[in-house]
Amino acid sequence: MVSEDLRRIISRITSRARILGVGAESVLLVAKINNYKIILKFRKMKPYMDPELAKSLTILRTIKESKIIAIINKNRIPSPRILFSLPKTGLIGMEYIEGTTLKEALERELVDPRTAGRVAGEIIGRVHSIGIVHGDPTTSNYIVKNNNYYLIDYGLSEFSDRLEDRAVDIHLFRRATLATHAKYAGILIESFLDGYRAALGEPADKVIERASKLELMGRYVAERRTVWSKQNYS
Amino acid sequence: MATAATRNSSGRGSVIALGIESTAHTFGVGIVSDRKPYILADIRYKYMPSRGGILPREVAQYFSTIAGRAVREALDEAGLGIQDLSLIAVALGPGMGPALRIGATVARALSAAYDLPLIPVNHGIAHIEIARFFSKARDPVILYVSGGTTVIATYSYGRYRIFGETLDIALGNLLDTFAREAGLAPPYIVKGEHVVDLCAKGGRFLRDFPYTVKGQDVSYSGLLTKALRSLARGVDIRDVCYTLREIAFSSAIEVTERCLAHTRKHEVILTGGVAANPVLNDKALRMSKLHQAGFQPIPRKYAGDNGVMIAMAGILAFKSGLVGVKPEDAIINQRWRLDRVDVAWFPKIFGE
Repeated sequence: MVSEDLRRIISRITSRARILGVGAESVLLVAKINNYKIILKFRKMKPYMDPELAKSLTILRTIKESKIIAIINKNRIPSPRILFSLPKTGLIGMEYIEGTTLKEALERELVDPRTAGRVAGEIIGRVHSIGIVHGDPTTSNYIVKNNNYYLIDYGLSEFSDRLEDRAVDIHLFRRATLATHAKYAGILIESFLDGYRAALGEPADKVIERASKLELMGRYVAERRTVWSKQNYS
Repeated sequence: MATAATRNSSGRGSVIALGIESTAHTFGVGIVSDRKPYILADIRYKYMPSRGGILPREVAQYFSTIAGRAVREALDEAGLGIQDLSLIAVALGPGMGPALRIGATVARALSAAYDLPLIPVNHGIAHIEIARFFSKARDPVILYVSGGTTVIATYSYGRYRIFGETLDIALGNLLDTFAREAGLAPPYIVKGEHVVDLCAKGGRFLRDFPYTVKGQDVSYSGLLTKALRSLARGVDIRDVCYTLREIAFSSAIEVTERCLAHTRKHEVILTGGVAANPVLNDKALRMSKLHQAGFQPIPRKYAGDNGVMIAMAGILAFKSGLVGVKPEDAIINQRWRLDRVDVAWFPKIFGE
Protein backbone atom coordinates (compact mmCIF):
# COMPACT_ATOMS: atom_id res chain seq x y z
CA MET A 1 0.00 0.00 0.00
CA VAL A 2 1.16 3.44 -0.84
CA SER A 3 0.38 6.03 1.75
CA GLU A 4 -1.37 9.28 0.95
CA ASP A 5 1.78 11.10 1.97
CA LEU A 6 3.84 9.32 -0.63
CA ARG A 7 1.19 10.03 -3.27
CA ARG A 8 1.29 13.70 -2.41
CA ILE A 9 5.05 13.79 -2.53
CA ILE A 10 5.06 12.04 -5.89
CA SER A 11 2.48 14.35 -7.37
CA ARG A 12 4.55 17.33 -6.22
CA ILE A 13 7.68 15.86 -7.79
CA THR A 14 5.84 15.04 -10.99
CA SER A 15 4.50 18.53 -11.38
CA ARG A 16 8.05 19.89 -11.50
CA ALA A 17 9.54 17.19 -13.69
CA ARG A 18 10.82 17.75 -17.20
CA ILE A 19 10.16 15.40 -20.11
CA LEU A 20 13.14 13.31 -21.13
CA GLY A 21 11.46 11.28 -23.85
CA VAL A 22 8.17 10.01 -25.24
CA GLY A 23 7.79 6.49 -26.57
CA ALA A 24 4.99 4.22 -27.71
CA GLU A 25 4.67 2.81 -24.21
CA SER A 26 5.43 5.60 -21.87
CA VAL A 27 6.62 9.09 -21.08
CA LEU A 28 9.94 9.46 -19.27
CA LEU A 29 10.34 12.38 -16.88
CA VAL A 30 13.30 13.58 -14.87
CA ALA A 31 12.59 15.02 -11.45
CA LYS A 32 14.72 16.21 -8.58
CA ILE A 33 14.39 15.36 -4.91
CA ASN A 34 16.81 17.57 -3.03
CA ASN A 35 19.84 17.01 -5.23
CA TYR A 36 18.98 13.49 -6.19
CA LYS A 37 17.69 13.11 -9.75
CA ILE A 38 15.14 10.42 -10.44
CA ILE A 39 13.42 9.05 -13.52
CA LEU A 40 9.64 8.77 -13.60
CA LYS A 41 8.28 6.36 -16.15
CA PHE A 42 4.59 6.91 -16.87
CA ARG A 43 2.69 4.29 -18.80
CA LYS A 44 -0.02 5.98 -20.73
CA MET A 45 -3.55 4.61 -20.75
CA LYS A 46 -4.29 3.65 -24.33
CA PRO A 47 -7.21 5.82 -25.42
CA TYR A 48 -8.17 3.40 -28.18
CA MET A 49 -8.88 0.53 -25.81
CA ASP A 50 -11.82 -0.31 -23.63
CA PRO A 51 -11.01 1.57 -20.41
CA GLU A 52 -11.04 -1.65 -18.40
CA LEU A 53 -8.59 -3.29 -20.78
CA ALA A 54 -6.35 -0.21 -20.88
CA LYS A 55 -6.36 0.00 -17.10
CA SER A 56 -5.62 -3.66 -16.52
CA LEU A 57 -2.79 -3.64 -19.09
CA THR A 58 -1.26 -0.57 -17.47
CA ILE A 59 -1.44 -2.14 -14.05
CA LEU A 60 -0.17 -5.56 -15.09
CA ARG A 61 2.67 -4.18 -17.19
CA THR A 62 3.75 -1.75 -14.49
CA ILE A 63 3.75 -4.55 -11.92
CA LYS A 64 5.68 -6.87 -14.22
CA GLU A 65 8.29 -4.28 -15.12
CA SER A 66 8.71 -3.32 -11.46
CA LYS A 67 9.16 -6.94 -10.44
CA ILE A 68 11.69 -7.53 -13.17
CA ILE A 69 13.71 -4.44 -12.28
CA ALA A 70 13.63 -5.46 -8.62
CA ILE A 71 15.00 -8.90 -9.49
CA ILE A 72 17.62 -7.35 -11.77
CA ASN A 73 18.63 -5.05 -8.89
CA LYS A 74 18.71 -7.90 -6.40
CA ASN A 75 21.05 -9.85 -8.65
CA ARG A 76 23.28 -6.80 -8.92
CA ILE A 77 23.00 -6.62 -12.67
CA PRO A 78 24.00 -3.04 -13.52
CA SER A 79 20.75 -1.17 -14.08
CA PRO A 80 18.97 1.79 -12.54
CA ARG A 81 17.57 0.88 -9.12
CA ILE A 82 13.82 0.95 -8.74
CA LEU A 83 12.66 3.38 -6.06
CA PHE A 84 8.90 2.98 -6.07
CA SER A 85 6.03 1.76 -8.21
CA LEU A 86 2.41 2.88 -8.42
CA PRO A 87 0.74 0.33 -10.70
CA LYS A 88 -2.67 2.01 -10.68
CA THR A 89 -1.09 5.23 -11.88
CA GLY A 90 1.20 3.37 -14.26
CA LEU A 91 4.18 5.02 -12.62
CA ILE A 92 7.64 3.67 -11.83
CA GLY A 93 10.30 5.75 -10.07
CA MET A 94 13.91 4.87 -10.77
CA GLU A 95 17.40 6.09 -10.13
CA TYR A 96 18.60 8.41 -12.92
CA ILE A 97 21.90 7.33 -14.40
CA GLU A 98 23.16 10.42 -16.09
CA GLY A 99 25.45 9.13 -18.81
CA THR A 100 25.37 8.71 -22.55
CA THR A 101 23.70 5.92 -24.43
CA LEU A 102 26.03 3.25 -25.73
CA LYS A 103 24.83 4.16 -29.21
CA GLU A 104 26.07 7.71 -28.77
CA ALA A 105 29.26 6.64 -27.00
CA LEU A 106 30.13 4.38 -29.95
CA GLU A 107 29.29 7.03 -32.50
CA ARG A 108 31.46 9.58 -30.71
CA GLU A 109 34.17 6.95 -30.21
CA LEU A 110 34.16 7.44 -26.46
CA VAL A 111 34.38 3.70 -25.85
CA ASP A 112 36.32 0.82 -27.32
CA PRO A 113 33.89 -1.29 -29.37
CA ARG A 114 35.48 -4.55 -28.31
CA THR A 115 35.11 -3.78 -24.62
CA ALA A 116 31.64 -2.32 -25.15
CA GLY A 117 30.41 -5.38 -27.01
CA ARG A 118 31.82 -7.73 -24.42
CA VAL A 119 30.28 -5.92 -21.47
CA ALA A 120 26.92 -5.59 -23.26
CA GLY A 121 26.95 -9.33 -23.96
CA GLU A 122 27.90 -10.18 -20.38
CA ILE A 123 25.00 -8.15 -19.07
CA ILE A 124 22.47 -9.88 -21.35
CA GLY A 125 23.99 -13.24 -20.40
CA ARG A 126 23.47 -12.42 -16.72
CA VAL A 127 19.89 -11.29 -17.38
CA HIS A 128 19.18 -14.57 -19.15
CA SER A 129 20.83 -16.58 -16.40
CA ILE A 130 18.20 -15.41 -13.91
CA GLY A 131 15.25 -16.32 -16.14
CA ILE A 132 14.54 -12.96 -17.75
CA VAL A 133 14.70 -11.83 -21.38
CA HIS A 134 15.07 -8.14 -22.12
CA GLY A 135 13.04 -7.81 -25.32
CA ASP A 136 14.76 -4.74 -26.76
CA PRO A 137 18.55 -4.95 -26.24
CA THR A 138 19.74 -2.28 -28.66
CA THR A 139 22.69 0.01 -28.07
CA SER A 140 20.19 2.76 -27.22
CA ASN A 141 19.23 0.75 -24.16
CA TYR A 142 22.64 0.73 -22.53
CA ILE A 143 23.92 3.73 -20.62
CA VAL A 144 27.63 4.37 -20.20
CA LYS A 145 28.74 6.41 -17.21
CA ASN A 146 32.35 6.62 -16.02
CA ASN A 147 33.15 3.49 -18.01
CA ASN A 148 30.40 1.56 -16.27
CA TYR A 149 27.64 0.06 -18.39
CA TYR A 150 23.98 -0.12 -17.37
CA LEU A 151 21.10 -1.88 -19.06
CA ILE A 152 17.86 0.10 -19.09
CA ASP A 153 14.20 -0.16 -20.17
CA TYR A 154 12.61 -3.41 -19.11
CA GLY A 155 9.31 -2.37 -20.68
CA LEU A 156 9.24 -5.30 -23.09
CA SER A 157 10.91 -7.79 -20.76
CA GLU A 158 9.48 -11.17 -19.88
CA PHE A 159 10.11 -13.95 -17.43
CA SER A 160 11.40 -16.68 -19.70
CA ASP A 161 14.18 -19.19 -19.99
CA ARG A 162 12.98 -20.48 -23.37
CA LEU A 163 15.63 -20.91 -26.01
CA GLU A 164 13.53 -19.08 -28.59
CA ASP A 165 12.98 -15.99 -26.42
CA ARG A 166 16.65 -15.79 -25.48
CA ALA A 167 17.61 -16.16 -29.14
CA VAL A 168 15.37 -13.20 -30.02
CA ASP A 169 17.42 -10.97 -27.67
CA ILE A 170 20.65 -12.00 -29.38
CA HIS A 171 19.08 -11.58 -32.77
CA LEU A 172 17.75 -8.12 -31.95
CA PHE A 173 21.13 -6.92 -30.69
CA ARG A 174 22.81 -8.23 -33.81
CA ARG A 175 20.25 -6.72 -36.16
CA ALA A 176 20.20 -3.33 -34.49
CA THR A 177 23.99 -3.25 -34.38
CA LEU A 178 24.34 -4.06 -38.07
CA ALA A 179 21.92 -1.26 -38.82
CA THR A 180 23.32 1.40 -36.49
CA HIS A 181 27.02 0.68 -36.15
CA ALA A 182 28.01 -0.72 -39.52
CA LYS A 183 31.62 0.40 -39.02
CA TYR A 184 32.23 -1.71 -35.88
CA ALA A 185 29.40 -4.22 -36.28
CA GLY A 186 31.71 -7.20 -36.72
CA ILE A 187 33.78 -6.46 -33.60
CA LEU A 188 30.76 -5.46 -31.55
CA ILE A 189 28.78 -8.59 -32.32
CA GLU A 190 31.72 -10.94 -31.96
CA SER A 191 32.69 -9.53 -28.57
CA PHE A 192 29.02 -9.38 -27.54
CA LEU A 193 28.77 -13.12 -28.15
CA ASP A 194 32.03 -13.72 -26.24
CA GLY A 195 30.68 -11.80 -23.27
CA TYR A 196 27.36 -13.59 -23.52
CA ARG A 197 29.04 -17.02 -23.51
CA ALA A 198 31.22 -16.05 -20.57
CA ALA A 199 28.22 -14.96 -18.50
CA LEU A 200 25.68 -17.63 -19.39
CA GLY A 201 28.05 -20.55 -19.77
CA GLU A 202 27.14 -23.74 -21.54
CA PRO A 203 23.56 -22.92 -22.70
CA ALA A 204 24.88 -19.91 -24.63
CA ASP A 205 25.97 -21.87 -27.68
CA LYS A 206 22.51 -23.28 -28.28
CA VAL A 207 20.98 -19.83 -27.96
CA ILE A 208 23.47 -18.36 -30.43
CA GLU A 209 22.85 -21.20 -32.84
CA ARG A 210 19.12 -20.60 -32.59
CA ALA A 211 19.62 -16.87 -33.11
CA SER A 212 21.43 -17.47 -36.36
CA LYS A 213 18.53 -19.63 -37.50
CA LEU A 214 16.15 -16.79 -36.69
CA GLU A 215 17.95 -14.72 -39.28
CA LEU A 216 16.92 -17.18 -41.90
CA MET A 217 13.35 -17.67 -40.79
CA GLY A 218 10.63 -15.72 -42.51
CA ARG A 219 9.36 -14.17 -39.34
CA TYR A 220 12.52 -12.25 -38.67
CA VAL A 221 13.88 -11.73 -42.14
CA ALA A 222 12.19 -8.38 -42.41
CA GLU A 223 13.75 -5.58 -40.47
CA ARG A 224 11.78 -4.78 -37.39
CA ARG A 225 13.53 -1.88 -35.74
CA THR A 226 13.83 1.84 -36.04
CA VAL A 227 16.88 1.74 -38.19
CA TRP A 228 16.72 -0.54 -41.14
CA SER A 229 19.53 -2.73 -42.26
CA LYS A 230 20.77 -2.71 -45.82
CA GLN A 231 22.26 -6.15 -45.38
CA ASN A 232 18.80 -7.53 -45.34
CA TYR A 233 17.57 -7.27 -48.86
CA SER A 234 16.46 -10.66 -49.99
CA MET B 1 1.62 -6.79 -85.07
CA ALA B 2 2.25 -4.04 -82.58
CA THR B 3 2.23 -5.09 -78.98
CA ALA B 4 -0.49 -3.83 -76.72
CA ALA B 5 2.04 -1.78 -74.82
CA THR B 6 3.01 0.21 -77.87
CA ARG B 7 -0.62 0.45 -78.91
CA ASN B 8 -1.73 1.96 -75.67
CA SER B 9 0.99 3.16 -73.39
CA SER B 10 3.30 5.00 -75.72
CA GLY B 11 3.37 8.77 -75.81
CA ARG B 12 0.11 10.39 -74.85
CA GLY B 13 -2.05 7.30 -74.48
CA SER B 14 -3.20 6.13 -71.09
CA VAL B 15 -2.25 2.76 -69.63
CA ILE B 16 -5.23 0.49 -69.12
CA ALA B 17 -4.94 -2.75 -67.16
CA LEU B 18 -7.25 -5.66 -66.59
CA GLY B 19 -6.54 -7.14 -63.17
CA ILE B 20 -7.55 -10.57 -62.01
CA GLU B 21 -7.93 -11.51 -58.36
CA SER B 22 -8.53 -15.10 -57.27
CA THR B 23 -6.49 -15.71 -54.13
CA ALA B 24 -9.35 -16.59 -51.78
CA HIS B 25 -13.14 -16.45 -51.93
CA THR B 26 -13.48 -13.59 -54.42
CA PHE B 27 -12.99 -13.84 -58.16
CA GLY B 28 -12.51 -10.23 -59.17
CA VAL B 29 -11.88 -8.60 -62.49
CA GLY B 30 -11.03 -4.91 -62.44
CA ILE B 31 -10.25 -2.58 -65.30
CA VAL B 32 -8.24 0.46 -64.38
CA SER B 33 -6.76 3.39 -66.27
CA ASP B 34 -3.81 5.45 -65.03
CA ARG B 35 -5.89 8.53 -65.86
CA LYS B 36 -9.12 9.76 -64.31
CA PRO B 37 -11.62 8.34 -63.59
CA TYR B 38 -9.16 5.48 -62.90
CA ILE B 39 -11.65 2.72 -62.10
CA LEU B 40 -13.46 1.63 -65.27
CA ALA B 41 -14.86 -1.71 -64.15
CA ASP B 42 -15.10 -3.72 -60.96
CA ILE B 43 -16.71 -7.14 -61.24
CA ARG B 44 -16.70 -9.52 -58.29
CA TYR B 45 -18.01 -13.01 -57.76
CA LYS B 46 -17.82 -14.14 -54.19
CA TYR B 47 -18.00 -17.77 -53.16
CA MET B 48 -20.32 -18.24 -50.19
CA PRO B 49 -20.41 -21.63 -48.53
CA SER B 50 -23.91 -22.61 -47.42
CA ARG B 51 -22.38 -24.06 -44.28
CA GLY B 52 -18.97 -24.32 -42.63
CA GLY B 53 -15.84 -22.69 -43.99
CA ILE B 54 -14.24 -22.33 -47.39
CA LEU B 55 -12.83 -25.39 -49.14
CA PRO B 56 -10.19 -24.49 -51.75
CA ARG B 57 -11.39 -27.15 -54.18
CA GLU B 58 -14.99 -25.91 -54.08
CA VAL B 59 -13.89 -22.32 -54.55
CA ALA B 60 -11.85 -23.29 -57.60
CA GLN B 61 -14.78 -25.15 -59.06
CA TYR B 62 -17.02 -22.14 -58.58
CA PHE B 63 -14.40 -19.77 -60.05
CA SER B 64 -14.00 -21.89 -63.14
CA THR B 65 -17.73 -21.57 -63.87
CA ILE B 66 -17.85 -17.76 -63.61
CA ALA B 67 -14.36 -16.65 -64.71
CA GLY B 68 -15.18 -16.16 -68.39
CA ARG B 69 -18.37 -14.32 -67.57
CA ALA B 70 -16.54 -12.01 -65.13
CA VAL B 71 -14.01 -10.96 -67.76
CA ARG B 72 -16.77 -10.32 -70.30
CA GLU B 73 -18.80 -8.28 -67.82
CA ALA B 74 -15.80 -6.20 -66.85
CA LEU B 75 -15.06 -5.29 -70.47
CA ASP B 76 -18.74 -4.43 -70.99
CA GLU B 77 -18.84 -2.30 -67.87
CA ALA B 78 -15.76 -0.41 -69.02
CA GLY B 79 -17.12 -0.18 -72.55
CA LEU B 80 -13.84 -1.49 -73.88
CA GLY B 81 -12.65 -4.28 -76.11
CA ILE B 82 -9.64 -6.41 -75.33
CA GLN B 83 -7.67 -4.46 -77.97
CA ASP B 84 -7.99 -1.36 -75.76
CA LEU B 85 -6.03 -2.94 -72.91
CA SER B 86 -2.33 -2.29 -72.29
CA LEU B 87 -1.69 -5.22 -69.98
CA ILE B 88 -3.06 -8.07 -67.93
CA ALA B 89 -2.25 -8.06 -64.20
CA VAL B 90 -2.82 -11.16 -62.11
CA ALA B 91 -2.50 -11.97 -58.43
CA LEU B 92 -0.18 -14.98 -58.31
CA GLY B 93 -0.11 -15.21 -54.50
CA PRO B 94 -0.24 -15.58 -51.65
CA GLY B 95 -3.44 -17.56 -51.40
CA MET B 96 -5.10 -20.91 -51.93
CA GLY B 97 -3.48 -22.95 -54.71
CA PRO B 98 -6.58 -24.23 -56.49
CA ALA B 99 -8.18 -20.76 -56.46
CA LEU B 100 -4.99 -19.01 -57.63
CA ARG B 101 -4.67 -21.42 -60.53
CA ILE B 102 -7.99 -20.33 -62.04
CA GLY B 103 -7.00 -16.65 -62.11
CA ALA B 104 -3.54 -17.51 -63.41
CA THR B 105 -4.97 -19.69 -66.18
CA VAL B 106 -7.35 -16.99 -67.35
CA ALA B 107 -4.58 -14.38 -67.27
CA ARG B 108 -2.13 -16.56 -69.18
CA ALA B 109 -4.73 -17.30 -71.81
CA LEU B 110 -5.65 -13.62 -72.31
CA SER B 111 -2.01 -12.59 -72.43
CA ALA B 112 -1.06 -15.28 -74.93
CA ALA B 113 -4.12 -14.93 -77.15
CA TYR B 114 -4.05 -11.13 -77.38
CA ASP B 115 -0.32 -10.55 -77.05
CA LEU B 116 -0.66 -8.47 -73.89
CA PRO B 117 2.10 -8.03 -71.31
CA LEU B 118 1.42 -10.22 -68.27
CA ILE B 119 2.29 -8.59 -64.96
CA PRO B 120 2.41 -10.78 -61.83
CA VAL B 121 1.09 -9.00 -58.76
CA ASN B 122 1.51 -9.85 -55.09
CA HIS B 123 -1.94 -9.73 -53.48
CA GLY B 124 -0.66 -8.01 -50.31
CA ILE B 125 1.18 -5.32 -52.27
CA ALA B 126 -2.06 -4.67 -54.17
CA HIS B 127 -3.96 -4.16 -50.89
CA ILE B 128 -1.33 -1.66 -49.79
CA GLU B 129 -1.32 0.24 -53.08
CA ILE B 130 -5.09 0.66 -53.28
CA ALA B 131 -5.10 1.95 -49.69
CA ARG B 132 -2.32 4.41 -50.53
CA PHE B 133 -4.29 5.46 -53.60
CA PHE B 134 -7.45 6.31 -51.64
CA SER B 135 -5.71 7.81 -48.60
CA LYS B 136 -2.90 9.56 -50.49
CA ALA B 137 -0.64 8.41 -47.64
CA ARG B 138 2.83 8.45 -49.14
CA ASP B 139 4.92 6.55 -46.60
CA PRO B 140 2.50 5.07 -44.07
CA VAL B 141 2.64 2.46 -41.38
CA ILE B 142 0.37 -0.25 -42.75
CA LEU B 143 -1.95 -2.53 -40.82
CA TYR B 144 -3.04 -5.21 -43.26
CA VAL B 145 -5.76 -7.38 -41.81
CA SER B 146 -7.85 -9.97 -43.60
CA GLY B 147 -9.05 -13.53 -43.31
CA GLY B 148 -5.59 -14.94 -43.84
CA THR B 149 -3.27 -12.07 -42.96
CA THR B 150 -2.36 -9.91 -39.98
CA VAL B 151 0.71 -7.89 -40.85
CA ILE B 152 2.17 -4.58 -39.72
CA ALA B 153 4.45 -3.33 -42.47
CA THR B 154 6.17 -0.20 -43.62
CA TYR B 155 8.47 0.82 -46.44
CA SER B 156 12.24 0.75 -46.12
CA TYR B 157 15.02 0.33 -48.66
CA GLY B 158 13.08 -0.72 -51.73
CA ARG B 159 10.48 -2.92 -50.10
CA TYR B 160 7.57 -3.01 -47.70
CA ARG B 161 9.15 -4.59 -44.62
CA ILE B 162 7.21 -6.64 -42.11
CA PHE B 163 7.53 -5.07 -38.66
CA GLY B 164 5.17 -7.41 -36.89
CA GLU B 165 2.61 -10.08 -37.61
CA THR B 166 0.49 -12.75 -36.03
CA LEU B 167 2.35 -15.70 -34.58
CA ASP B 168 -0.57 -18.01 -35.27
CA ILE B 169 -3.99 -17.30 -36.79
CA ALA B 170 -5.01 -14.15 -38.66
CA LEU B 171 -7.46 -11.58 -37.31
CA GLY B 172 -10.18 -12.33 -39.88
CA ASN B 173 -9.72 -16.03 -39.34
CA LEU B 174 -10.11 -15.51 -35.57
CA LEU B 175 -13.44 -13.70 -36.00
CA ASP B 176 -14.76 -16.11 -38.63
CA THR B 177 -13.71 -19.26 -36.80
CA PHE B 178 -15.25 -18.01 -33.59
CA ALA B 179 -18.47 -17.04 -35.38
CA ARG B 180 -18.70 -20.43 -37.02
CA GLU B 181 -17.91 -22.43 -33.87
CA ALA B 182 -20.34 -20.31 -31.85
CA GLY B 183 -23.10 -20.99 -34.37
CA LEU B 184 -23.34 -17.34 -35.47
CA ALA B 185 -22.23 -18.00 -39.05
CA PRO B 186 -22.47 -18.51 -41.99
CA PRO B 187 -23.41 -15.98 -43.26
CA TYR B 188 -20.47 -14.09 -41.75
CA ILE B 189 -21.66 -10.66 -42.84
CA VAL B 190 -25.24 -9.54 -42.22
CA LYS B 191 -26.37 -6.17 -43.59
CA GLY B 192 -22.78 -5.07 -43.98
CA GLU B 193 -21.76 -5.97 -40.44
CA HIS B 194 -19.76 -8.91 -39.23
CA VAL B 195 -21.85 -11.20 -37.02
CA VAL B 196 -19.31 -10.79 -34.20
CA ASP B 197 -19.89 -7.01 -34.31
CA LEU B 198 -23.66 -7.48 -34.25
CA CYS B 199 -23.36 -9.85 -31.34
CA ALA B 200 -20.95 -7.57 -29.43
CA LYS B 201 -23.56 -4.83 -29.13
CA GLY B 202 -24.36 -4.36 -25.47
CA GLY B 203 -21.52 -6.65 -24.47
CA ARG B 204 -19.26 -5.91 -21.51
CA PHE B 205 -15.55 -6.44 -21.06
CA LEU B 206 -14.57 -9.74 -19.46
CA ARG B 207 -11.44 -9.58 -17.37
CA ASP B 208 -9.69 -12.88 -17.71
CA PHE B 209 -9.19 -13.13 -21.50
CA PRO B 210 -5.57 -13.36 -22.71
CA TYR B 211 -4.08 -10.27 -24.35
CA THR B 212 -0.94 -11.36 -26.18
CA VAL B 213 1.49 -8.88 -27.68
CA LYS B 214 5.05 -10.15 -27.81
CA GLY B 215 7.33 -7.32 -28.82
CA GLN B 216 6.08 -6.61 -32.32
CA ASP B 217 3.89 -9.65 -32.82
CA VAL B 218 0.38 -10.60 -31.81
CA SER B 219 -1.06 -14.01 -31.04
CA TYR B 220 -4.73 -14.95 -31.25
CA SER B 221 -5.02 -18.70 -30.75
CA GLY B 222 -5.17 -18.48 -26.94
CA LEU B 223 -7.88 -15.84 -27.22
CA LEU B 224 -9.96 -18.05 -29.51
CA THR B 225 -9.66 -21.02 -27.18
CA LYS B 226 -10.62 -18.89 -24.19
CA ALA B 227 -13.63 -17.42 -25.99
CA LEU B 228 -14.95 -20.82 -27.04
CA ARG B 229 -14.42 -22.27 -23.55
CA SER B 230 -16.25 -19.35 -21.99
CA LEU B 231 -19.19 -19.93 -24.30
CA ALA B 232 -19.27 -23.60 -23.37
CA ARG B 233 -19.33 -22.57 -19.71
CA GLY B 234 -22.40 -20.45 -20.36
CA VAL B 235 -20.91 -16.94 -20.31
CA ASP B 236 -23.12 -14.37 -22.10
CA ILE B 237 -22.22 -14.53 -25.80
CA ARG B 238 -22.47 -10.73 -26.15
CA ASP B 239 -19.75 -10.28 -23.53
CA VAL B 240 -17.61 -12.93 -25.20
CA CYS B 241 -17.97 -11.30 -28.64
CA TYR B 242 -17.23 -7.84 -27.26
CA THR B 243 -14.16 -8.96 -25.34
CA LEU B 244 -12.81 -11.08 -28.19
CA ARG B 245 -13.10 -8.19 -30.63
CA GLU B 246 -11.78 -5.63 -28.17
CA ILE B 247 -8.63 -7.61 -27.42
CA ALA B 248 -8.02 -8.72 -30.99
CA PHE B 249 -8.34 -5.20 -32.44
CA SER B 250 -6.52 -3.44 -29.61
CA SER B 251 -3.49 -5.71 -29.83
CA ALA B 252 -3.21 -5.25 -33.61
CA ILE B 253 -3.48 -1.48 -33.17
CA GLU B 254 -0.94 -1.55 -30.35
CA VAL B 255 1.67 -3.19 -32.57
CA THR B 256 0.86 -0.62 -35.26
CA GLU B 257 1.47 2.05 -32.64
CA ARG B 258 4.84 0.53 -31.76
CA CYS B 259 5.81 0.56 -35.41
CA LEU B 260 4.74 4.20 -35.70
CA ALA B 261 6.76 5.19 -32.62
CA HIS B 262 9.84 3.26 -33.72
CA THR B 263 9.89 4.52 -37.30
CA ARG B 264 8.61 8.03 -36.50
CA LYS B 265 6.47 8.03 -39.61
CA HIS B 266 3.43 10.29 -39.91
CA GLU B 267 0.71 8.29 -41.60
CA VAL B 268 -1.29 5.16 -40.88
CA ILE B 269 -3.39 3.07 -43.25
CA LEU B 270 -5.62 0.06 -42.77
CA THR B 271 -6.20 -2.39 -45.59
CA GLY B 272 -7.55 -5.90 -46.19
CA GLY B 273 -11.03 -7.29 -45.60
CA VAL B 274 -11.12 -6.53 -41.86
CA ALA B 275 -10.18 -2.88 -42.64
CA ALA B 276 -13.86 -2.37 -43.51
CA ASN B 277 -14.67 -2.74 -39.82
CA PRO B 278 -15.79 0.59 -38.27
CA VAL B 279 -14.66 -0.37 -34.76
CA LEU B 280 -11.14 -1.11 -36.01
CA ASN B 281 -11.12 2.17 -37.95
CA ASP B 282 -12.13 4.08 -34.85
CA LYS B 283 -9.26 2.55 -32.89
CA ALA B 284 -6.80 3.31 -35.69
CA LEU B 285 -7.99 6.92 -35.74
CA ARG B 286 -7.63 7.37 -31.97
CA MET B 287 -4.18 5.81 -31.99
CA SER B 288 -3.06 7.96 -34.93
CA LYS B 289 -4.27 11.15 -33.23
CA LEU B 290 -2.26 10.25 -30.16
CA HIS B 291 0.89 10.40 -32.30
CA GLN B 292 -0.23 13.29 -34.52
CA ALA B 293 -0.27 10.92 -37.46
CA GLY B 294 -2.67 11.13 -40.38
CA PHE B 295 -5.28 8.43 -40.82
CA GLN B 296 -7.81 8.10 -43.63
CA PRO B 297 -10.08 5.02 -43.67
CA ILE B 298 -10.18 3.08 -46.92
CA PRO B 299 -13.62 3.08 -48.63
CA ARG B 300 -15.36 -0.04 -47.32
CA LYS B 301 -15.90 -1.37 -50.80
CA TYR B 302 -12.18 -1.49 -51.53
CA ALA B 303 -11.00 -2.95 -48.22
CA GLY B 304 -11.68 -6.52 -49.28
CA ASP B 305 -10.37 -8.48 -52.27
CA ASN B 306 -11.04 -7.07 -55.72
CA GLY B 307 -9.59 -6.98 -59.23
CA VAL B 308 -9.20 -3.19 -59.23
CA MET B 309 -6.31 -3.28 -56.76
CA ILE B 310 -4.54 -5.95 -58.81
CA ALA B 311 -4.85 -3.78 -61.93
CA MET B 312 -3.54 -0.74 -60.02
CA ALA B 313 -0.51 -2.60 -58.67
CA GLY B 314 0.04 -4.03 -62.16
CA ILE B 315 0.12 -0.56 -63.70
CA LEU B 316 2.53 0.72 -61.02
CA ALA B 317 4.90 -2.16 -61.72
CA PHE B 318 4.51 -1.85 -65.49
CA LYS B 319 5.20 1.88 -65.51
CA SER B 320 8.23 1.42 -63.25
CA GLY B 321 9.78 -0.74 -65.94
CA LEU B 322 8.54 -4.28 -65.34
CA VAL B 323 7.98 -5.66 -68.82
CA GLY B 324 6.02 -8.68 -67.70
CA VAL B 325 6.57 -12.40 -67.77
CA LYS B 326 5.97 -15.05 -70.38
CA PRO B 327 2.69 -16.89 -69.82
CA GLU B 328 4.55 -20.10 -69.00
CA ASP B 329 6.52 -18.24 -66.32
CA ALA B 330 3.44 -16.87 -64.56
CA ILE B 331 3.62 -19.44 -61.79
CA ILE B 332 1.47 -19.16 -58.69
CA ASN B 333 3.14 -18.87 -55.30
CA GLN B 334 0.88 -19.75 -52.38
CA ARG B 335 3.34 -18.33 -49.85
CA TRP B 336 4.58 -15.25 -51.62
CA ARG B 337 5.48 -12.83 -48.84
CA LEU B 338 4.98 -9.17 -49.58
CA ASP B 339 8.46 -8.34 -48.25
CA ARG B 340 9.92 -10.26 -51.18
CA VAL B 341 8.70 -7.75 -53.72
CA ASP B 342 10.85 -4.85 -54.90
CA VAL B 343 8.53 -1.86 -55.09
CA ALA B 344 10.51 0.16 -57.61
CA TRP B 345 7.69 2.72 -57.99
CA PHE B 346 7.76 3.81 -54.33
CA PRO B 347 7.10 6.59 -53.18
CA LYS B 348 4.84 7.12 -56.17
CA ILE B 349 1.15 6.55 -55.55
CA PHE B 350 -1.14 5.08 -58.20
CA GLY B 351 -2.58 7.83 -60.43
CA GLU B 352 0.46 10.08 -60.16
